[in-house]
Amino acid sequence: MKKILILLVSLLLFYSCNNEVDVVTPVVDPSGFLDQTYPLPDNVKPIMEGVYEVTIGNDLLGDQVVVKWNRDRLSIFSGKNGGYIVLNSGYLDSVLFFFGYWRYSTNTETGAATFYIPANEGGSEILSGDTTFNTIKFIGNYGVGNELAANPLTLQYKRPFSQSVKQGNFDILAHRGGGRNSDYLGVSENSIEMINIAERFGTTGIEIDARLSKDGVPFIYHDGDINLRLTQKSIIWGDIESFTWAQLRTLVTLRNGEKIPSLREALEFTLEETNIKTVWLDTKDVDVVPASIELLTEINERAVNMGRNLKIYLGIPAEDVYDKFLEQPNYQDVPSLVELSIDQVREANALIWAPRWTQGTQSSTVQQMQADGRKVFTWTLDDENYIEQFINEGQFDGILTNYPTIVSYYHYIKQ
Amino acid sequence: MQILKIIIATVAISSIGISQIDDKTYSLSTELGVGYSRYFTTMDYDDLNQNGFSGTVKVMWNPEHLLSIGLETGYQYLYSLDVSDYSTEFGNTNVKASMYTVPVFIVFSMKVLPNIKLSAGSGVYLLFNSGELFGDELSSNQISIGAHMGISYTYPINNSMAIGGELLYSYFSKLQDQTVAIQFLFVYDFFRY
Repeated sequence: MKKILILLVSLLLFYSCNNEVDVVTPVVDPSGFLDQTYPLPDNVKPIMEGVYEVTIGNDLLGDQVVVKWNRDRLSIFSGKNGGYIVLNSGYLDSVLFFFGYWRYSTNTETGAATFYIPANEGGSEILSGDTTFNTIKFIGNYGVGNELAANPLTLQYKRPFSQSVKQGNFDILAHRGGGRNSDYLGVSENSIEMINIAERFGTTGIEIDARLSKDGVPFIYHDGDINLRLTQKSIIWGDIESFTWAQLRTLVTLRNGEKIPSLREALEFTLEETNIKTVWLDTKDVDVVPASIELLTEINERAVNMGRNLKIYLGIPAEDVYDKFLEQPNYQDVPSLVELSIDQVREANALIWAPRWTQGTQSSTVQQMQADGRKVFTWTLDDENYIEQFINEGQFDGILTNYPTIVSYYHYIKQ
Repeated sequence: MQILKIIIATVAISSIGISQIDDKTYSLSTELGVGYSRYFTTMDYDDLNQNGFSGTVKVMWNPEHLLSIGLETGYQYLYSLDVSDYSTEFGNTNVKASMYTVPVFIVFSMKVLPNIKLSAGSGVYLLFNSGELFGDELSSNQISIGAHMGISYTYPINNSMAIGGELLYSYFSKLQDQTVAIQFLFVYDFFRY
């Protein structure tokens, strides 16, 4: 009997183990130092963009990194584990200061990161808008986990982005609004909060998933049901499209505490609060097609009127959605993205063809589509080796990925 | 995966130090259980009612060995919420929601002492969700895999009937929540050979 009790207790302890991962992003600028600095003028930010050599700290980032401004943050992308750094900034006198965090995309390692650019290492030239600088050197430190940032890390300017990169119009598209819940980014996939930070990962476009509530409100959410992968525990469960919008909005909370956004909220936020230029509006249910078309048409028109470089495309992933799309009036005038055959792309007059990455680089077919005046995006490409290959050998106009930081690195280092 | 571990461990526990019985009689029995269930959850609602009814029906095949196998179904109340004048972005409303489940399980049980059995089962829970918000009905159902394990005591009242009690722990994979139920048991051997 004693044996049984011991085993039973052991079993309960074993069962109660929680293997959930919790990635806590370090507090940026815990001392509040940046509050005492001046914000960097937007016109000087591009000066420091380029490819940098990692002169100290290769263990963290490898030998070279990409430095790129993305809206209000400076991002650094490396070729090691999809490593990246996101930094807030400010300046005092002629010194630029940066506080932020680093993270590996492909695992959960993270830590604090700080840099400064001294006046005589490029600071003065950057602030004066001088593009003929001799050098730019980021001098800084990083920590691991909750450690203070004490390990040295130095980046030395190597070269600007190549002309083909600067002049190209390549789209780095982030899956599910910017990233998946399984990558522990601190905000939930398909949320306004995720769209808000997506550009920090180098994205120029996002893919979001549209569904329709029972009472006809389009909203963004990936899965067909309410589940713990996407939401916190709720008193309602089951087919998400069997609930009204008020019910979903009131009773369902996304994994990291956000509310499910309506499609209108997501698109208006993208239009008004970000510099994202492409939205791939994936259609998760045929019934949402008419409402999605109506809304994307309205937002696209508003973007044109605002002079905003934003285009929203209706994603057509499957035959049933395709058939529904062809039933819509003036469907050939709707900006669409078709994942099916190139004949269907032409029949729908889709502006984008989106083949799955496993079909290869398909250069001749890609060129045919581009000769028609269409773009070609491939999806969903996450493997670092294939990302490098597709960027260097492929002719795509964009890549959809769960790891936009990796795509950013290989795109911006391209000669 | 956790469910498999639970079942394997329970069967392992059940097997410790128990010898085969000498009785060569095989039987089919039905076990009816009714009682109280408590739902354990990390949901954060002040007015969540987590206490309710639990009922199970098992049909077991009892061979000459200690291990019996059978099928189980039943009803288990999980929770309900009934809040008036709940404040939302759409205005105030009454919130009503409830969930109950019907298990469809394969169960194993093993006699570890003359009147005591350990049991473990796995299968699917049919989850039924209903309620009302803003005058609109809430209604959905879904399937969750799950498992349970229990310990029961039965006292024979004649050759074919026994009464007793059972403590039953259940886990719902989809909800990642659990219940503990205490049930009154009635066991009837309806066929012997």
